[in-house]
Amino acid sequence: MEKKKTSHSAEFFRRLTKGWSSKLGLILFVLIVLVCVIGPFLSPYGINDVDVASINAGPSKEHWFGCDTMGRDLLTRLLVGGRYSLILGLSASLLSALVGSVFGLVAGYQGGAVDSVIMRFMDIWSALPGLLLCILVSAFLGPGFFPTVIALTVGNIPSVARMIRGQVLSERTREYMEASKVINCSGFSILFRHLLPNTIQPIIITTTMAIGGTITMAASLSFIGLGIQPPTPEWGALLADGRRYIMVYPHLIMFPGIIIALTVLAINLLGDGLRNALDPKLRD
Amino acid sequence: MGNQFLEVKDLEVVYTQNKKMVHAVNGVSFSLGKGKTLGIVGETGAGKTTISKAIMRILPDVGARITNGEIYLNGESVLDKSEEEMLDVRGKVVSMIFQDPMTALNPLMTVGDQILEVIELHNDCDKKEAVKLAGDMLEMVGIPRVRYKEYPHQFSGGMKQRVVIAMALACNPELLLADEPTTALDVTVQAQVLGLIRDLREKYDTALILITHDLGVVAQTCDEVAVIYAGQIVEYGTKEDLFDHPTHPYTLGLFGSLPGMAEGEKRLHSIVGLPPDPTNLPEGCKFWPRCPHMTEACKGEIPVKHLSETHYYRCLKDRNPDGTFEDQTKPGGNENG
Amino acid sequence: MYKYVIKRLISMIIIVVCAGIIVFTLMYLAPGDPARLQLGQWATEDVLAAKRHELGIDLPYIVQLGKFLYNTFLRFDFGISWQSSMPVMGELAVRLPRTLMIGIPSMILSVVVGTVLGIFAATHEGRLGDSLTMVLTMVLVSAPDFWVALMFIILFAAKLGWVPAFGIESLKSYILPIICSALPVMAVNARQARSSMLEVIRADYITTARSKGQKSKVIVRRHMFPNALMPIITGVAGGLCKVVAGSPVIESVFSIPGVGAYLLSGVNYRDRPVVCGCVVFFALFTSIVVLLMDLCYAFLDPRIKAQYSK
Repeated sequence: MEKKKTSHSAEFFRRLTKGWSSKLGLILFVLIVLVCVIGPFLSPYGINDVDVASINAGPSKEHWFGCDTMGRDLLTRLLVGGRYSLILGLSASLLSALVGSVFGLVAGYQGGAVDSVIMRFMDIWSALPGLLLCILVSAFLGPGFFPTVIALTVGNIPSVARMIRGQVLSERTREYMEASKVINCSGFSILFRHLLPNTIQPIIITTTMAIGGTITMAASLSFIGLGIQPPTPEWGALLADGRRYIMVYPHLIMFPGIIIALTVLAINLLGDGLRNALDPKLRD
Repeated sequence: MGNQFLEVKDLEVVYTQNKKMVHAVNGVSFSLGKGKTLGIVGETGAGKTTISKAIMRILPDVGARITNGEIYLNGESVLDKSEEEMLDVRGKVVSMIFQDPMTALNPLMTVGDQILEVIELHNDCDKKEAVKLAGDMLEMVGIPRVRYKEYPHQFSGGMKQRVVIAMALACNPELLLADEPTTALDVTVQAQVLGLIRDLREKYDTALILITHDLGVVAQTCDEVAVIYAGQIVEYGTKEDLFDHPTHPYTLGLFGSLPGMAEGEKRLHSIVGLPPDPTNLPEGCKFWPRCPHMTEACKGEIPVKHLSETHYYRCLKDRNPDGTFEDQTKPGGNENG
Repeated sequence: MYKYVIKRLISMIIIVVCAGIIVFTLMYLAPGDPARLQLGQWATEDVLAAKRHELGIDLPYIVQLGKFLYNTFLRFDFGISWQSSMPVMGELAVRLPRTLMIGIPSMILSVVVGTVLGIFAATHEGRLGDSLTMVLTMVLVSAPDFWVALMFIILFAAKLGWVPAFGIESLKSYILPIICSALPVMAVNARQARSSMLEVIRADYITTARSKGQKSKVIVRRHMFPNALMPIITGVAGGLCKVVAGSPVIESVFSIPGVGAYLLSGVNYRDRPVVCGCVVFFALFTSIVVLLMDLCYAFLDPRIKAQYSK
């Protein structure tokens, strides 16, 4: 049993890394995570260490990415900020996947009135596009880490719920569902032991794909002054910080943006690879 | 030769897929007289559909290539025709019925208009007449004329296949290529559709190539049969030749996997193994990895043996009258490929 | 069909009203005293109370909500901004053209370029052009739009001086915002168009059409294009919604006084009439676009139409 499992995951891993793009995505993502986790310990500077001599300095041997308007080392701030951004992206995506799947599973499985109520609720929920909803919830909950996680989560839930519901509806017509009803499985057991495992793959794929979008969304939020706020070195906050000096010190804008773009790119490539590896319909 | 209606000589088709060469058809030759019926039998992926698409020259533009061979229709070389000349052949001289009626119709066009399309292309008549003709075709395949303006999604699978047949026969083609026309249908509907094809074929004296993996269908419909394996004809003969004296081990295998009515038959025999990977075909006889009578020599050159004027097969071995095989060559006595 | 449209319109109104209620409630519950935010930290309690009375926020929640709903949905009056004391409706009317001035051209740009790129990639599948398009679009999808906007400002406004960096003085100022909001949507459209084109190219009914002897030009026009049109419409609708939804950020980068910037300033000052007005507008806009998209689907695809007629 154990052996079969490992060979299964080995096969999955082989398929995941088959294309050069998903391989690149995986390597890049692991690299970024490692650097953000370990980097700050190796850096000779703290995030709030001020080097008065190199205020606004461009990249140099001492400060690879230069320093900000207060003379703080930009690279160190970026790496620490990466922890915020990555954790924000991961936790908000996971949370929305969790809540969205519960809604979607229940709506799709129960059908009838429950389905209608949940889906109408989702319609209202998504009458406002994601970013606007995030702005509103973030404004309502105020700045800070956890309020921002919630704000980011809220925007993603309806689309996850819809997708899972659709998946459940198509699974429901399959024969194994009949079979499990015939052998008198309880609703709970059908839902969690049969439906969930069969919808888990799209959940994984959308969650992965959502991480990148969520990181961008988080950055947008702090960029427009909501969500995580300076001096916390979240990537969007760093951009918001540097924005005032855009004409004079472009490095303050360039580096954080490149890091965000690279991270999101890595995650998107990985998500693409995951979809190709997991989704049998797209596999040749 | 030369006076046959359709002649295919040494046809070879190669697909390029993910930088790998797929040898779909490897030197297929056959001919067909006017109004005759040929059955092409083989497993999925044996190259049957590719042969028919090559005859119509509708292989995918990207990736598929006819690397060798000649195809003559009414004495004219199909492969030398320009694309424009082919437009007049397709639908008019040769037409095709596709395997899956669910996807063969454009979902956004009414069925009537889809039949109308082919009539307008090949008949010199005004629109009104063409519409009437399209309606006639619908009725002929047993669909009421009033359903002309309906869309494919409003039809069942069997009805859709009737529409496809109506489309294929709308311009009285001289050759009809039916690519597994009943595979996607229920058994009862299968019989109806086959009956329909047979009736219409007799009515218009159309030559028919019936592609199938169902030997029962062949027995009902065909004059001659080609058994195809990995893009090669492994046995060819009249229906009687094939059904009374199946000779190639693969043909025998196919018969073995038919449910027999004979007493004492307890279980079906299946051919062991899977069809070969077309990107990496075995040397020599393509069937040797699965053949119960395989010897080293099978990996070498394989001769074509004629049993009679009409019946030939491609195997090293001779078959004894009792159905067993006698090794003609001593093991290892031949050069290995 | 008419029944369906009417049903959809009714549910659209309900959804927008519900969205209004939710936003109103959120803003009602939001921390911070609007009166204090306006009058500053040193205002006395008397002045504050007078201000609260003036704004009508000393009334019970349910009364305020009732007034809001009545004014918004029956009199189409979004109220008066607490911050600027100007009618919200008038302000929206002034600002909407600016937002659409970015939204519509960038939607058109993203759909046209995206579709063309997608078709190009699909017809060159597996070749260099396809790979390059896919890499390019993946990068564009990944880069945050506001950052791309900032980089464009640095390059085209600061370094090259081709266009103004901020504001709306000339039509030229709209060029960068339009391109920046179009790029990510265009990339998504290109990927979508590619995959749907590939699906259509491989579709069996295309082989059927070829087997009829139809000319390839006609096949593209009559069989391929209509079937590939659905994702393009999704692209138009989705693109418009995305661009308008992204307007707070893009308008903030380019300092464009549009609807998005209005919402943002409303949010920052806890200016309830402004926020509620903008949100109702955005919800209405999105719902109408989605409804139109669904109707286009039904018009194009008899299968969807059949579903609706039931």
